[in-house]
Amino acid sequence: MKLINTISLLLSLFLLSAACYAEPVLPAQLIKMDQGRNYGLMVGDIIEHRYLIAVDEGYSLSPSSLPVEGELTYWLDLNSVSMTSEQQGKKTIYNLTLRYQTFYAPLDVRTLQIPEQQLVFTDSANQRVEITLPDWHFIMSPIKEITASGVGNNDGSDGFMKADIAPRTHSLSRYQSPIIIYASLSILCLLIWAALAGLLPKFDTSPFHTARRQIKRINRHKNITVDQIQQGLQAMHDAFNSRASYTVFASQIDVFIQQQPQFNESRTQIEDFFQQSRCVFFFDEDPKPNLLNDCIRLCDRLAAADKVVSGKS
Amino acid sequence: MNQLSKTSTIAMSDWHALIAKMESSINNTILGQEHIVRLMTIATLSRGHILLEGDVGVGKTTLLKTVAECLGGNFERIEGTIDLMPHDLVYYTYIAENGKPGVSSGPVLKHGDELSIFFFNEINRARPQVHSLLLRIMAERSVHAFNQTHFFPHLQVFADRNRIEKDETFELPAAARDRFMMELHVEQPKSEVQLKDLMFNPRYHDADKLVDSADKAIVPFQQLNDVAAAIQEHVHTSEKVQDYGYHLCRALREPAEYGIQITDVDTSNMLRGGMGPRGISYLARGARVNAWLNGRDALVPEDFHMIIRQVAKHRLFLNPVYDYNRDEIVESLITAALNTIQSP
Repeated sequence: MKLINTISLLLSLFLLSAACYAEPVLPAQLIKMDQGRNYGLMVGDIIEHRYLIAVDEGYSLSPSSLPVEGELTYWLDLNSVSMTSEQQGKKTIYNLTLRYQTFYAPLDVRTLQIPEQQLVFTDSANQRVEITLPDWHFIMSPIKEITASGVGNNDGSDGFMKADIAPRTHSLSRYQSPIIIYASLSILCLLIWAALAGLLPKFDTSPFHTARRQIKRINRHKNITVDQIQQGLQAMHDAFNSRASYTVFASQIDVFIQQQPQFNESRTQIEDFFQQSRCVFFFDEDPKPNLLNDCIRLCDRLAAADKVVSGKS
Repeated sequence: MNQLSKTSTIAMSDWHALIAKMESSINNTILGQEHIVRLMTIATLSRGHILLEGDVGVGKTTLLKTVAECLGGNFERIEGTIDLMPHDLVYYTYIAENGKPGVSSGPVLKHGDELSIFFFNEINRARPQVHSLLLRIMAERSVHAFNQTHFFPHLQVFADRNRIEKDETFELPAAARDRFMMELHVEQPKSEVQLKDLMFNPRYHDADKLVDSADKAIVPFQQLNDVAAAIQEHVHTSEKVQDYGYHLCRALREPAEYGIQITDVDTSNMLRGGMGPRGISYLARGARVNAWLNGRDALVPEDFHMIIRQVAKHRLFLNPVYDYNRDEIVESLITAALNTIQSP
């Protein structure tokens, strides 16, 4: 009997202590959570965690306690946080969805962890209750073959990694014609501008070629007037001026030839030309016959001399 | 063209010989100044006044005196001083032998219309009042004194100044400088032989004696006006050369119009005054004389080149911001104009 009493006493004490240590019912409770598969995840996978939280009447979620979207660690992003709530009796049910994305690229199978989150609920009396969303471990797998297929295999594959996916090509055919037209016009304008600015290389380097063409054009006329002869002589003078980069006068022939020694062999003809030009322009004398033909011949000689020099240079 | 005019007694062809003789005589007296002598001849035959500028002791005064001697005619000389007044050129007062005050004609009036050369030494030492009187004498060849106007039809003014001293001097006003046809810069001879000759030959030690040794009155000064006019009539200017002369002068007035560019200078804003009507007239007259002296009866562009610097330089007035480097900029402008303006 004594033993029974003792056992009864001990049982009573045990029940009393169990009652004393029973977990109190909190105003906010995590009643359900769904965190999906925790293995076989690979780089770039989306991880979606859903939580159902029941909160007593009068309490509401403090928005500042919600996790912030963005980069959590160097390998884990929190892409979105969405939360809805509905009233069920005296409880408010919060439906929280956290969408993570992992960028960890493991070289072997590895366990990683998404850390726990604290949610805070407060009532009108500013009493707060915290709920912890537990941390979550998951296993990530590398995107590679466990056994290298290209090493020691006879399947003809020598690549260790898979080939990149070929980029998708977009058809540009509808832009092709306008691009060609506008590009051609732009190039044409650029060439015209360069030609006007004198930036293009001069294929016909001697100005005496130009003078020759002008004089020949004048010389084609049947009855050549003095004015036309003067035009021809002026074309010749323009060529001399162009070659010297300054106005060449009869008294400067020596200086001109000193600067352009390729014309030294034609000195006599050059002096004769300037003398004839003086007679026509300043002394009002009649031009001698075949003056323009002489000019054409002189142009040929001087252009040839120019060509030799440009060839050497 | 053989006979100049009613008053001339010398054939035109003989004038070439006379001028050559005059130049030769001057060059025998003054060493190493052949180019300056030729320019003075051109000015004389253009009836233009001459201003000589140069360092001290290079022979400016001796040169002018020699030219005056060779040209002949009555010659007067006055020294520019700070206390010189305009009336000192026209008259002077004195106490006569009878004790009464007397008034006599000054250097300008002394020879009446026979005055040939008036030599103004160190002109920049005279005051602007004197310059003012000189302006009228040079431009109109006349002066009003003793209740009448005196004319000097044969007058040519020679002046000189040294470019080193600036104290107690008065810069010639633009109007006065413009009345000089040419401003000649005299430098010492460059030839070693000539310098040694000037150094050791006793002939050149006494300037007065040297000037006396030159041939005198080679040219009949009374006929110079007629000769000058005849040359202007005689030398033909074609349309092309007129175009060239016009554009050359225009470029020295509006260089930006001709695309002339000078390093570090805004050519559209560099000139305050350029070649005016008197300047371009003198340029054409001098160019014609040069053509005639070279035996041509038609003008060519090189005739302008011969005198363009001496005629144009002192007529180009720069914006003050460029005055610090005036000589170089003006020289660049003239060179650029000569290289830019095209002519057959």
